Amino acid sequence: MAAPTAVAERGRGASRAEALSRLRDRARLPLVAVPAGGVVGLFGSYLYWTLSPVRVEGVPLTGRLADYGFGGVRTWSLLLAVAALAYGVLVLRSRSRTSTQGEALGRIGISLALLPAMWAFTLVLFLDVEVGRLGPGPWVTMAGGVLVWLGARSLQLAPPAPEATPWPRRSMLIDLAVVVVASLVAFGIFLLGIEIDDPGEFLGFFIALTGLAATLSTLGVYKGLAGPFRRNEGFAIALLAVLLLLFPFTQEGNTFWIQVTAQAGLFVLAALGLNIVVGSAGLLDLGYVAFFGIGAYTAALTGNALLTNVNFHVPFLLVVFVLAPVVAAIFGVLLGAPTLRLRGDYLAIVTLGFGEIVRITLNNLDPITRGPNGISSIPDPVVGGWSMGAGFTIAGFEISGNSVYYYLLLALIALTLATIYRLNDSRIGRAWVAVREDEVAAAAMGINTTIIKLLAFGAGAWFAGMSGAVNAHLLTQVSPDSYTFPFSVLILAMVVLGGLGNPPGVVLGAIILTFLPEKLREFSDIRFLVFGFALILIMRFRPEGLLPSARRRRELHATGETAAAESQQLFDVRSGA
Amino acid sequence: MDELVQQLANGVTKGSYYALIALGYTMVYGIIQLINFAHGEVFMLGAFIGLWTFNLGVTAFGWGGTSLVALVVVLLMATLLTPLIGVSLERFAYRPLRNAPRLAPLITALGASFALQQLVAVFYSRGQLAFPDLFPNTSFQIAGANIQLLWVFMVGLALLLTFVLTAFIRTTRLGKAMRATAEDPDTARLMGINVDQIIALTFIIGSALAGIGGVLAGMYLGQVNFFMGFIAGLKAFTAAVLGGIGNIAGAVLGAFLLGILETFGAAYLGGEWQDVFAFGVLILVLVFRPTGLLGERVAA
Repeated sequence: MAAPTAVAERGRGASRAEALSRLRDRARLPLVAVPAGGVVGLFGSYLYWTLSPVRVEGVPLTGRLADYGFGGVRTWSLLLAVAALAYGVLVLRSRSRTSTQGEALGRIGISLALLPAMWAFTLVLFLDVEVGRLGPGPWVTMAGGVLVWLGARSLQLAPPAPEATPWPRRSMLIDLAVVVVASLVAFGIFLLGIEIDDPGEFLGFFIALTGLAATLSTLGVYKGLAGPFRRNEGFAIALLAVLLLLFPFTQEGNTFWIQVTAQAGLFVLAALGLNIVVGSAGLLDLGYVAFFGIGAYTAALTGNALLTNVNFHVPFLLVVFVLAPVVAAIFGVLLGAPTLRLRGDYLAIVTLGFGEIVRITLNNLDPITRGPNGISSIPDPVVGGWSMGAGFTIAGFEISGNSVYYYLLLALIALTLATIYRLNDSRIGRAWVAVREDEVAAAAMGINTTIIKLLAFGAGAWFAGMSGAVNAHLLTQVSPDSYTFPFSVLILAMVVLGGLGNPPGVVLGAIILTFLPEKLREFSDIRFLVFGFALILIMRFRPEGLLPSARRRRELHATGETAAAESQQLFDVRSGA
Repeated sequence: MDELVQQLANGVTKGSYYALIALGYTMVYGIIQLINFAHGEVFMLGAFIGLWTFNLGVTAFGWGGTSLVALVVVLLMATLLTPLIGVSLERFAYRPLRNAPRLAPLITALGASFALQQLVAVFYSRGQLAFPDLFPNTSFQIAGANIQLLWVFMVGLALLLTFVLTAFIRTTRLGKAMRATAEDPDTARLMGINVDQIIALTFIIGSALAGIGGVLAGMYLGQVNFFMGFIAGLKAFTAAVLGGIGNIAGAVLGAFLLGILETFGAAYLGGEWQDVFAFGVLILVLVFRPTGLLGERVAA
């Protein structure tokens, strides 16, 4: 079937890129290579991974790596190898093989090869382990992964599986069971991720998890899961709420990860706000941190801080729900107004400039902001005579102050999500999308683009201000250095990684980008380097993000042939006009 | 009066390296309507390549103090190496996204800018590094102001390069191809112009100019750091917009104007507000005269 097109291409004089891609298409082994690669990977996971124990600042890394056996990072390569073996045998025995299965197997293979590769790379580059001190395990496992990948390619000419659909309803009980099991598995994975202290092992865990998640996505499991979840939306949300409420109780009095989760909650709030501006309305705002900073300073100045020049107190709830968001939103509108007539790329630069102006102003307004020193010793908020930092005891469980912040943020996020969903479905939300897609057409349809854009700026700044206000209390201090350009980029990276325009995606992006650096603290030097490259790679290979909105996916990533043809046609019509 | 002349001289000197960066912004924008966020980073890398070359020279040939040979070699290395960065940016970050929604290349440009900064920070140095005095440290008096010879050299070089660039674009075949591509890439392609190559050439020229600017700025400021390109890039962009983006003469005029405005602003409002002043100018220009002083001209 592929032969005629190949000949035609050659006849036209194939370019080097085409020749390369043909070569890539031909790189494959028989399907048996998949389970074989799985066995090799299994064996590689059992071999020793380093010749002598590796220590980071005296702490042994990934357990007994200088031994035969499993454990540590090798648990996770084992998991992938077993997955390749089991699923490989399954596909080998099945009568109707599909290219979709091949793609799924290929993803397992890639992660099985990538896991030891990344692990070895990190050890050599950042922990000064010599390549010679690595054991045979990583190399053998890598070879197993490549074997799986090459074997999986043998299925690329098979017909694709029919497009996945949401699983139909069999019975209420099965539906509910699916929802409960899926939610518990997700929650369990989250807890497990927190448990793993060792950075090397966490790297393995993360790669294995990502690989398996991608595999399940290829197999259409998420689309299938959407069925039971959508039918029982209320139940699923209630379950999620219960699990999130229970989270502090799983930490056995250890508050560190609750603090990190609270921090993640702050980022979720801010990212949801930025998502309105960039995702919904399509206005690239690079000075977003300014509004976060304005919210934080508002809370700091009115929060009875010990080290401050302004002694003016406003009750906390009033600050979080009204004062900080309103002040930030006013600035959002003020700073947004002059940029309204600008094209997208000018807008980016101007907002960036505004971000810097706000930071420099905070830095220079000594009499109010205490300049570079910032405002510190901001006390925990007091609500109705009770200090949030004090925590409380419930049914024998002690709820620490951090957990109170965590619960506060949960409530704020729930409120924000509800608001955003209502907004997106409203006249305003539809107008945002219209302005994003085609401003001229939107204006012609009677949309007042000026007001709509200002509303986007204002709404985005609103949530940033809210987030900043809680941040000031959580960290007990604010200073201009905290609100620099990299912070704006970080929040933008969260939005882009998760999925521009899709609130659940944005939440996921914010959580991943808060926890990952926290888990990989040993490599914090290169954090921003990784963000930079990640932005390029995401835009290049998955511009719609991890959890795209259905609409975005179609827009940005027309992989289906019909979609590609359609968009090509549209493009031609437009550029020809 | 002395004070005034002194500030004017400072401003013009600053404007000279802003101009060298602004040319790259304006050319790239003129040809593919993309704000190359990472362009400021190319400028920064120019300065670091200069520093690195000088350090190599110190160990290999025992360079030290002012040396004209060292200056020429350092400038040449910056001119030759920065285009590699510019071209790889274009090839890997921008070209694959040329037909994507406009937000996409902007975000990759941002990512590239970030990655380049951090590459230098992680693998070279996070600190402030002293840049050697390659140019003879002599000065003279004009109208009561103290003028360094280096400043004259910088302004002269910037003007010379602008002149050469203008001549290149106006008179050569490649220059004509560039103008055609800026005017209408599709038609240019039909006329047999290799548009991809012309775009790459634009990045090469822009990067080389920014690289030279980086070395000059290093000598002028006496120190370099990994984030120097961020603010300088923003200001050069402001300059390009001030003059009318896409317009080569405009970019240079805008750069000198901005340099002068900024020095006077800093002198009379206080140095800590200097950057606010530059961004204020940008915003005012965009609001009241978005086409810039000399007007936008897509074809140079």
